[in-house]
Order: sequence, then C-alpha cells, then structure tokens
Amino acid sequence: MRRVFRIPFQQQRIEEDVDDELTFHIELRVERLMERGMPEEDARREALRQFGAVDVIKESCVTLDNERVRAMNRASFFTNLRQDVTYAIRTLSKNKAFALIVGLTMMLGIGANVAVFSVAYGVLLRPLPYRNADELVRLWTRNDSRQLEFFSVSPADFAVWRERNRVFSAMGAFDRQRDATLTRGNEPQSVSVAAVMPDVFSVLGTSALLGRRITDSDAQAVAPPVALLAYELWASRFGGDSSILGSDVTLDGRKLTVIGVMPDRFSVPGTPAQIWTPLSLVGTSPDHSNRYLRVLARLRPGVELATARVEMDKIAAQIGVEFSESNRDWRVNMMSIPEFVVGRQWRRAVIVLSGVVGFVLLIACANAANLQLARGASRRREIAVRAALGAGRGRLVTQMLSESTVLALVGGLAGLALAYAGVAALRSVGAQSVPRLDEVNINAVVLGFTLLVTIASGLLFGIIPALGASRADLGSALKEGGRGVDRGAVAPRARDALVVAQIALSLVLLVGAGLLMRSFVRLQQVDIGFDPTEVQVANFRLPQARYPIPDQAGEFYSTLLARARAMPGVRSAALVSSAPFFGVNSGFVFTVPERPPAPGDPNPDADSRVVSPGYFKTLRIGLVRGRDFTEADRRGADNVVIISESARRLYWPSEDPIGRQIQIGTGERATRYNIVGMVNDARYQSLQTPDVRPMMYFSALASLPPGMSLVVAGPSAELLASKLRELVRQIDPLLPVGAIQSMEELVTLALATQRFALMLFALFALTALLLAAIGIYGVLSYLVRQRTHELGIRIALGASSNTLVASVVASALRVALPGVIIGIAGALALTRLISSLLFGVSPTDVATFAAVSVLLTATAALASLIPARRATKADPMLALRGET
Amino acid sequence: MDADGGLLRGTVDVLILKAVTWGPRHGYAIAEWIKAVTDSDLLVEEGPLYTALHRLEKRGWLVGEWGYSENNRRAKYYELSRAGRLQLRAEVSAWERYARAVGKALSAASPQPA
Repeated sequence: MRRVFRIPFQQQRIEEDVDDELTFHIELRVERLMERGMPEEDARREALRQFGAVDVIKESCVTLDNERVRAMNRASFFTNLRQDVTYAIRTLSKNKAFALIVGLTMMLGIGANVAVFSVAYGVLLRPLPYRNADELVRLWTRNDSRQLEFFSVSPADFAVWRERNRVFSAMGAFDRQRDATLTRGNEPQSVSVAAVMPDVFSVLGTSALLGRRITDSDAQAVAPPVALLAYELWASRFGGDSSILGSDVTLDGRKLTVIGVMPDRFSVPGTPAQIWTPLSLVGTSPDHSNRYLRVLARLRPGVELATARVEMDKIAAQIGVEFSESNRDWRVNMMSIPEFVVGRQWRRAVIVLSGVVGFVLLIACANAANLQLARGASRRREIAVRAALGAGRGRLVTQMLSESTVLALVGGLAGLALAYAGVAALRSVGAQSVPRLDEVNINAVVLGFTLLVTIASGLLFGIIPALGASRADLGSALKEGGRGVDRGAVAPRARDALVVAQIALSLVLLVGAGLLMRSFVRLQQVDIGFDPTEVQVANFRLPQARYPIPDQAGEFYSTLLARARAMPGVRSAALVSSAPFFGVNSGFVFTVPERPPAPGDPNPDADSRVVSPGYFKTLRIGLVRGRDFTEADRRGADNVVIISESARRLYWPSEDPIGRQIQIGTGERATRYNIVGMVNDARYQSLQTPDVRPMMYFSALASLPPGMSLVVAGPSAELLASKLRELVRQIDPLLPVGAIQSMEELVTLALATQRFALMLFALFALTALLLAAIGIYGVLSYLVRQRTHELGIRIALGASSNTLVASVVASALRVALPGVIIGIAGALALTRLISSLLFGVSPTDVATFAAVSVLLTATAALASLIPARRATKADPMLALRGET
Repeated sequence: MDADGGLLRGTVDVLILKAVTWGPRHGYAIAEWIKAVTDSDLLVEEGPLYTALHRLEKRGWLVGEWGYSENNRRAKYYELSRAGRLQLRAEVSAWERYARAVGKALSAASPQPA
C-alpha cells in the first residue's frame, strides 16, 4: 500500500472522502459479482442490496467524522499551546534579565491601568443602586438673570409640574436634609435627616433591605411618626441588628418608629441623609416663590432628556405667565442622575485619567516590543533553525506571541499587586474629593479587565517582533551564524518608530502634568483673605426641642464663647453661621434705598454670614473701614451690617459705604440695616473662581440661626479638640459635637480635587518618562553594538572619544526630535480636555510646552550617554576582525 | 446486521478490531473477512459496517489512512491503534470469560448449585 498524505479538515473534504470510501466498496463488489458472471446491471443492484441504505450510512459516517475532526483540532490547538508556553517559559528563564525588564515594564503599564480602571469602574461605570438609573433625573429651577442655575423648587411649582407633564412616569420631592440629634440610651449623636415624599422611593425603585419603605399612608397627618434608616447608620449605630425594626428612636426629642433599612450604597440622590422621614405636600404654601424642595423624576420609557427639557420649560413658561410675580424668568433645569451623582468635572477627570494610563500602557508596550526586537535580532539563528526544521510561519508567530503573552501575564500579575496597593493609596488620598471613591475596589470586573488588558498588550507588543522575525531571510541568518549586522528590513525602522511614539506619548503626558502643576501653584497663591493657621472649627446645632426660645440658644453660645476664650492657649474665639470651606453658603437679595432697582431689573444680592464680635480678629480678616460688631449690636438695638470689599466695589463703587443703608424685604416687612464696617474679601466657597462673591455679615447677637460654627484660634489649637468636647459636655451633656477640623485642613481640602489630579498625572507622566528613557537607552545600546565595527575603525583612525560620543548622542537626538515635534502637536490637540482642571494657565501654555520639550530632549541625550561611553571603549582590533 | 441489540453491535466492533490485527485493511476486505469467518451469519448488510468503522475511528481505536489498493484505486485503510489493540485484548478476554460462564451453565448436570 502506498500512502497518501491528506488531512481532512473541511466539511466538503470529509463528505468527498466518505463518498469515495463507499463507492470503492460498492464498485469492488460489482466487479467481484461480474467476475462470477453476473451481468453488470444485476451486479450493481445486488451490490447495493448487500450494502443497505447508502444515504443513511453516508450521513452517519460524515457526522462521526466531523465530530472526530473537531475534537482533533481542539486537541492539537491545546497541544500546540502547551508546547509554545512551555518553550516560552524555558526560553525566558534562560534570559532572566530580559524577562525581568519587560516584566517590570508591563507591571507599571498594567498596574496603572488596572488601578485607574478600578476607579473608573467604581466611580463611573458601576451601576447605581436604582432601577434603570438612566431614566432618573434631578430637577431644579433656574433663573439666568439672577445667575441661579440649580435652585430649589416650590411645592406649588412642583404640583403644577407633576400635573401637566407627559414626559415623566413618576415624580417625587424631598426637603433639604437637616442635622438632628439621635438619642438612643444616653448617647447623643448628630445625624442628617431628610423628609422625603413616599413617591421618591417608588421613583428610585430600590426595595428596602429590611422592613419596608415609606408609603403614602405614612405621610398622612394622622399617621404615627416613622423613620427609615440608611444602611451605614444602621450598621454603625445599631450594629446591623434587625430587631431594630418596630422599635423607637428619639430624634430631636421626638419618638419615631423604625420601619425599615435601605440597602448598602443606597442614598436619595441630592441628600446625604442617614434617616428619612415622610414628607407630605398637603397644606404647603401655595406661594410659587417659596422654593425649598428638591425634585427627582423618572422619564417615561423612550423619552429623551432633551425632550423632557423642552416640555418642562414649556410648562415653566406657562407658570411664568400665570404667576408672573413669582415665576417670570424662572425656567427648569435637569440632569440625569448618573451624571449628577458623579459630577461633570469628575466624569471628565476620570475619562482623561483613563486616557493617560492608556498612554502609559502604550509606552510600556512600545518598550517591550523594542526589547523584543533587539533580542529578536540575536535570536535570528534559533528562529532560522526552527524554520528550517519545518516550523511554518504561523507556528513561529504563535510561538513568539506565546512568549510575549507569558511575559505580559507575569507583568499583569505583578501589576495587579501594584494596582491593589495603588487603589488603597488612591482611596486614602482622594476619598474626600472624589465621589463614590469609597466604592472603588479590585473586584471580579476589574480582574476580568486585567486579564483582557494583559493578553491584549502581550499580543500588541509581541506582534511586530514576531512578524519581523518570522519574515527574516533564513539563508542569510544561518550563514551569518547569528553574528554581525541585523539586516532584517523591519527591525531598525520599527524600533525607531517605536521610540518616536514613546517620546511623543510621554511628551503629551508631561505637558499635561506640567500644566496641572502650574495651575496648582497658581491656586496655592490665591489670596484667601483670611489666615487659617492655628484655627479650629467645630459645628453646633441646637435642637429646637430643647432650645425653643432664641434667648436660650444665645445663652448657650455666650457661655460656650466665654469658656472657649478662657481656655489656655486660645488667642481668640468667635461664632459664624458657616465657616469658610465648611458647610453651606447662604445668600439674600436686598435693595439700596437711595437707588431702588428699575422695574424689571433684578435686585442686588450678596452672600451672608451671621458672626459674633471678634470673628474678623479670629480669622484675621482685615477691617478696612468702620468697626467690628460689639456686644451692643443685639436684638432691639439698631440693625447693623458689615460688608465686604467686593460688595462695596459692586454696589457703592464711588462712595464711602459707611453710614449707608441696605433694605431687606419690601413694604411692611422691610428692614433696614446700617453699614457700620467694611472688611477685606475672604473666600468661602472656591479658590478657582476669579471673582469673590460679595459678602455681608450680620450680628449673631441680633439673630441666631439654629446651627453655628465655633472658630477658635490659638497656638495650641490642635490640643483644643478634646478640651472642647469636654467643655461642651459641661454646658450641655446631651449636645453632640461633630468633627473638629483645622481650618488649614479645610483650605487644603478645597484643593483636594486639583491635588488628586496633579498627583496622579505627575505619577503617570514620570512613569512614562522613565519608560521612554529606558526605550531610548535600549535602542541606542543596540545601535552602538551594531556600529562597533565602524566605531572601531574610527578609533583606529584616531577619532577622539568626544567625536564618538557626540555622534552617538546625535543619533539619539535624531530619533528624539521627531518624537518631540509629534508630541507637541498631540499635546496641542489634547490638553484642552483638561482645561476644566486648569486654573490661571492656558492649555497651550508656551512655557510648559518649552520646558517639557527641553526635558525630554535632555532625557534622550542622557539616556544615550552610557551607550556612547561604551562606544569609545570599542576595541579596534576586535572590531576590525569582525568578532564582536 | 441487526439494528438493535447491543450484543450484536459489540460483536461487530470486536470482529472489526480483530480483522485488522494482521495489518491495515480497507472496508471491503474487512467485510469479506467477517463473512468468511462467520459464514455470513453476522453481517446481513455491509453498510452498517462503515458506520462502525467511523465510530471506532472516532474513538481512537482505529486509524484511517488513504492509500492505493492492489488494483491501484484510492481506498481508505484502517489500522489498529495502540488504544485499539488494548481494547481488543480486553474484549477478547471478556468474551472468553462470558463464553466460559455460559458454557458452564449450559452444561450443568444438577438443578442445585454445588
């Protein structure tokens, strides 16, 4: 028997083979029968009869063969894979230095990506704990003429919105949260409570973890008072005890029955409340200007946000006509809940960051590819031998790719460990500035992403070297014996291109980091208008139930102030309704009696704070004119106000404001205040706005809001924290004292977003720079080795080492400069993406671009110095003999 | 061959394995051998023999290879694989045990077990 090589691997081939096989049998039978003298026709009939149902047999044979071939292919795929991987591991363990460098490179690249992906996933991608969160929107009113973009909604407006719209399937409203004292046993604790319409829970569609949510019947006036708890409060305060259901808690002296606990991570978007109580709009004020509600709604399926916006503005315009007094110029603003929860700036920052680490990974891959290429050159003989022994090109490529994938997996594993540490670091740095950062961790999704990125980058950095090596000319490789010059056409050009790409990518990152650094420096130079050093802030809120009369609260605060001032080490102490960078902003509208606004013009407005005498001294806010508040500025005395410099600039531009008046309210309820002083501008909200809002201060002795902050200044202010608690306990043992924070920390926190962005950017940019430097070094070392022959001749001919060094450095710059130019072009196109994170610096800042270009060029030159020095040591004799 | 009956199918399988112990054979030759040794009692139709051949090839007991027959026609030859040889050995000894047992029972002289 002679054998025929034929591998049936296609369906058609299999069918043909079965046909041939069966035909052979039948034909042979026919022949044998005819040999015995049977006529051909009879013989054929007899043969088919003996055989049976040909079609059925054929079909079952084909089926069996298909199954067999499939199983075989599978098996051989895995056999090949196992061989490749084993071979890869063996090869790599023989080249530990190479494996180590590539592994470390990939660790950096993959680690950065995994860390940032876990942030991106936790912050942006992880589903919110609501049913179809994409349909949820938050609604506000807006008034462009008063520059109010996100303003609350009046119950009267809400009722009309709900009645007339056809875009929402459900709407609900809730009150701003308030601080309340939760008492259980003898321990008071300050918690945040919000009154919420039962509809809000059906809008959000999240079920209770325990018990039930607030229902319509709870919101009726006669219903027994109930409370729904947030998971975190339930876990921390009630130890996660489910017997809490049905028991009572005391909130500001009022007994409430706990009806349920909401699941972990659930919150009503727009309030950080830990306890929800029912809210009913029955009997609320019909006044459309009484705006205090926050509104959530769910879009009807298929309705776009833009459509809803148009419809709601139409309704707002109708209300504006019907109630022009209160609603002219008031429109509706809305934002989808996923966007609202994360915030526009963070969404952008996380996306930019993902791009940044993507760049880092690309640079790492370029590096790894470069190292592979350099090694590929010295492996050409090995590859040529394998090819000569019959390994097909596909098999060679697979083999090289297995090697790079094994390397990537090693790097990925180390990268995962790096990311784990990185995420922990990110959380500790950014927890207070990044929304949802506490939800970030390494989970199954992140692990899946890691595997994907790892394998993808393994293939990415393996493919160019693999294709290059497999294309190499076998004959010449074998003849050269692996020595001498790499004449493979692909390698040198590909290597240069990779380095150019690395430099360009690093330049973009460095420019980004540079811009952020400059804005950060600018931000720190912003004059905040007060001195935060040695100042501590503590928040108080006196429960209405136990301090029903303003005088009682006044008494509490004056005792507190007196004792605080008497503490050793305290320079001064004062009260403020809301300290800088701490708590909420409040504002009001007023008129200047001499200049009533023309009909249709908006009233002047300003931010406001209520402060005790000595506040300006405590924060060292400079008094420019007039006087501070005194003990005499109390209720019953003349109404007085102190204005800020920018309030003067806006409203009394060319006159002395002292002695002038402002009027709040109209008609019978109008109150006039005498301006008795003017102070420097202090920043309360943001460091980033170019202008400071006008501010007016009122005397705490005249009217006291329920919540106040105590500010204490003194050399040992930090020691005060514990003493302050003790002191409050002496005055009112049932009053909770929240966190006591240093003013410096609060100011630092105001920069947290920028600091966070800068830190990450700088970290990744430096990683990129390091990787690029390694890349340049690798390429030049190789280049020098290639040129040893030439350099040796030049040394033999008497070239000075300076000339040689210069020539190597020059070749480094020849690669670096195109990279720098491409990088500048890329950076010009991309830096506008981070403009929202910049302050006082243009995204195309010339100084930054110039500095970074110089830095990169210098790095390239430096990276070439070691190979250059090696070049000068080339032994002319060896070089001339050609044995390098 | 009877379509039902695991015994018969198993029997054909073992006969096929036996048929190729002396070297590669194509389907026709195997069919002829089985007819010859069993006096045509077992193989009623030849078609199902091929199903059996492909099944045994799929299980890895037979290795099919294309070659040229004596009269220079392309034919598929089947060869016993290592696994097939082991299988055949196992089946032969099972058959012998079975036959011995049945034989003993049928030649029993007393109605009571000894």
